[in-house]
Amino acid sequence: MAKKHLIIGCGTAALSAAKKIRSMNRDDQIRLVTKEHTFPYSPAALPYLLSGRLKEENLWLADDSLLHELGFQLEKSKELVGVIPENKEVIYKDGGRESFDTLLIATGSDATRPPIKGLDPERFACLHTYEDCQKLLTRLNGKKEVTVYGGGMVALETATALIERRLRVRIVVRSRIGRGYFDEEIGNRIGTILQQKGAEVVGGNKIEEIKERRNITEIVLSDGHSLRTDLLINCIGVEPRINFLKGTGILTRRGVIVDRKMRTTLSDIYAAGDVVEAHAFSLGQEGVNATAPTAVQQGRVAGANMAGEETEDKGWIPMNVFRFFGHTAFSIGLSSQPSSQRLRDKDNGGIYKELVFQENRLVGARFIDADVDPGIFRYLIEEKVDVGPHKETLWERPREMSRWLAMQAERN
Amino acid sequence: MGTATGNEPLVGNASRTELGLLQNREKVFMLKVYKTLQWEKDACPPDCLVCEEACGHRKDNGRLDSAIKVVHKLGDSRHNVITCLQCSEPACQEACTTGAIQKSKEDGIVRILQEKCIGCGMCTLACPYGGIYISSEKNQAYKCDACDGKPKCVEACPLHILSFFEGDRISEYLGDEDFLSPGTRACSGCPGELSLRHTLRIVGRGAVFFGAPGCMTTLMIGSGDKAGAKLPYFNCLFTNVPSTMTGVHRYFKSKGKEVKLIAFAGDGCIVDIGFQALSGAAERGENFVVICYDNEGYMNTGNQRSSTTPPHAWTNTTPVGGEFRGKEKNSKYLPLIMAFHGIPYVATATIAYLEDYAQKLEKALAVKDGLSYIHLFTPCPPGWRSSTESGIEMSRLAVETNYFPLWEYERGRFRFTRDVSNPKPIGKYTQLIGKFSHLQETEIQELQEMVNQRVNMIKSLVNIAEVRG
Repeated sequence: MAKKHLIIGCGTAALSAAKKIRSMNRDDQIRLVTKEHTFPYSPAALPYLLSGRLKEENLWLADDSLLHELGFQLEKSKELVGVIPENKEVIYKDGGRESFDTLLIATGSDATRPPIKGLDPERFACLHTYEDCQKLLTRLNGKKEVTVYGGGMVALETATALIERRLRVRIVVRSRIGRGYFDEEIGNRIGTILQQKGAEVVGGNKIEEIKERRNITEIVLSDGHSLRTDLLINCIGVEPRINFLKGTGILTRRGVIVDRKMRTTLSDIYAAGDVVEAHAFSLGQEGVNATAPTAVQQGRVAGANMAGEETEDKGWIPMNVFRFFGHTAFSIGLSSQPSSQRLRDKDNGGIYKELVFQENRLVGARFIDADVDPGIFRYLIEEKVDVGPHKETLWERPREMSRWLAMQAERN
Repeated sequence: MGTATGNEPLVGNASRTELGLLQNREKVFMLKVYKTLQWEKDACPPDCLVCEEACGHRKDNGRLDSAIKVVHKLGDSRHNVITCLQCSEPACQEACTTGAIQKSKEDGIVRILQEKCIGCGMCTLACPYGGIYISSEKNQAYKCDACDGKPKCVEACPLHILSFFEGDRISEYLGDEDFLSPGTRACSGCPGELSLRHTLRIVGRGAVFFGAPGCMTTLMIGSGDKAGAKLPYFNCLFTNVPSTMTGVHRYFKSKGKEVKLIAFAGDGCIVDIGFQALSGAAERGENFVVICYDNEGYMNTGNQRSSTTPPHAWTNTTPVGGEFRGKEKNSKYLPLIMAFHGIPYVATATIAYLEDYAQKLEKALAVKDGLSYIHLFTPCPPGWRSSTESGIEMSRLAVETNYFPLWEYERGRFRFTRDVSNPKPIGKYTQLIGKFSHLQETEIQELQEMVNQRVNMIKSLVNIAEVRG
């Protein structure tokens, strides 16, 4: 009998799950409900919309005809406010209710609001949704100097986009650039390139207060300095969007707690993407990992299980890729651990590389501007390929050796 | 008259609407087979970069980075290439943040819509095969698009290690309709069931099937008052399948109808008990197709030996224990005997090579002036005391060891349809099969000699055709 799969959210995890269900089953009903007012898109593409390199018409991941072809029903502008698990029903903000056979919570995340004194919630600027991007584009009109708060991937991509828009950009970081993915040296290298392109980097500072008077905005840093800026854009992180789950019995911490099948603590209710705390590949712990590759991976697992094929997620691996002004930096897996062996190289004609090994396995890889295939390093890490006898060669000739190792592993 | 069904076929245990849905689903899920780039494993010469060079010039307007990449490792003699595999569920496509990567339904190629690509690099993180790269100059992703059907690297490869390969096209031989009702009464893992199902799908509508008591009869007849097959089926006696077909053929001829008649019967019927009638029909030049599914014994009645049971094999009538060492006699090899009847077409086939079988069956069906005979090697996992899932593996190894070489005979000419020059030792085949588990080295050697003798005999017939040719 055909089942009804209700998917709340329409981002990367939601679409991956829906496609997985459809690939396994032609007849089941798949409904995607989103509180946003647009076709699906990936938040990871928004900086490119901001920079102007991506035209709006090319942002959308699916239009009516593709949705029709896949047999997805998309309902826009509908916000979830509650779940009644015992009735297998959800409640919408407009009072409507809807039943389901399986439910996927893929509501994503909200931009984190930093505790800044004087920050007007109405004037909070960030780059997390299409709507944020539209607002930002309007508010950037006539502005010359903007401050980006944060040093993570979204902050760096936003800063890059703004530089490309020929704005003067200041980046204020609580610690340093790229802390989540890169060590200090690689982070500094990224910072230097951004500075060469005209950005100002203020490290080791929190923003304590914001003072807005007419058109002049002033921010006060934790070291006491005050800086004038035309606009403050907050990119310090995201928080899982879970407030509607209060009282449902679905267990949450920072995010929704799921097992390796992406099941929540209640039967037939699944969750995936930015919203979950799921198993990590290396640590064996739960945590939130709000990145696109993780959302794809979790969405696929959730979709398979919803359609009836029991599949387990191997756990998320922190990974990201940052492309800026013709440079490429990518980071996969663990950084240096007490038990690990690290091979790293400083500025070698602008090329940085870092490999982290645990016993015979590669567990982390980071490169800037090296001619290597990031996905192959991901493969070597994910498939736990034995690289023991080849560590040195992998370090000396990473491109050739990684390909060779992956090719041999694929055969065995 | 037996259990033949009428023009409006009954459907097995499924209702008409259910079948409609099933058919619909099959059409949706029918896999299309695309041409793909293929390369011979570890065959590249060291330091050769010809394919990369050719790929760099794949577009007329200027040089690009190569989308095919040579893999050389210092001190290792194995050299190879990697490139996009045009995955069926491409990881790059799913990772793409703007939906710029799409897999074509027409040719299966995964392409990048350059106007949508923002060069974010997510795809390069997703692809585990190094099949996609970012051009730092153009800030966009690039990959192999098989040069839209004429890959430059294949043209350039000096040793023809690269090829643009068309995969097994078995699905193209199959009609949309499955003529066996859902579910099966055969033992689990039955290669005979798969053989029959594919035979029906290749032959299609407008045919009448014949058979004699045996495993596949139960699938065709069905159960109770429901037919198992959606094609007319005439269940004869062991002794008179070809004779019955002769009569039916003449009846249709007198009515001015051309109807395909196909016998699908076991070795007990065709090779043993019904051979006289078959030999007679062949000599008279009757026009129909006889397929013998050979499971080397009377498996439906409890595993007694037949004349195709190989030497030393255990069956219930050729026991092992004490002074008994399985079957003492050699096996009869009917396909050659049928060829020497001088009929238009004879072939051997087996389910591990379905495309080969499909081609031979189509040739057999095309014959208008005489009898066609196909000997279909069909392992029987429970009867042979092998594991349930080993059917295809046994079928494949029978061919790879030359135990059952694939050949065809077409109007006086013999031809191998699969290379037999580098066979595996027969032990690779017998080790999978319980009915040979008692074999000692000397007995395996004897079996090997029988295999060699048989394949050499066919080789000499093939060579005669070549000398004449």
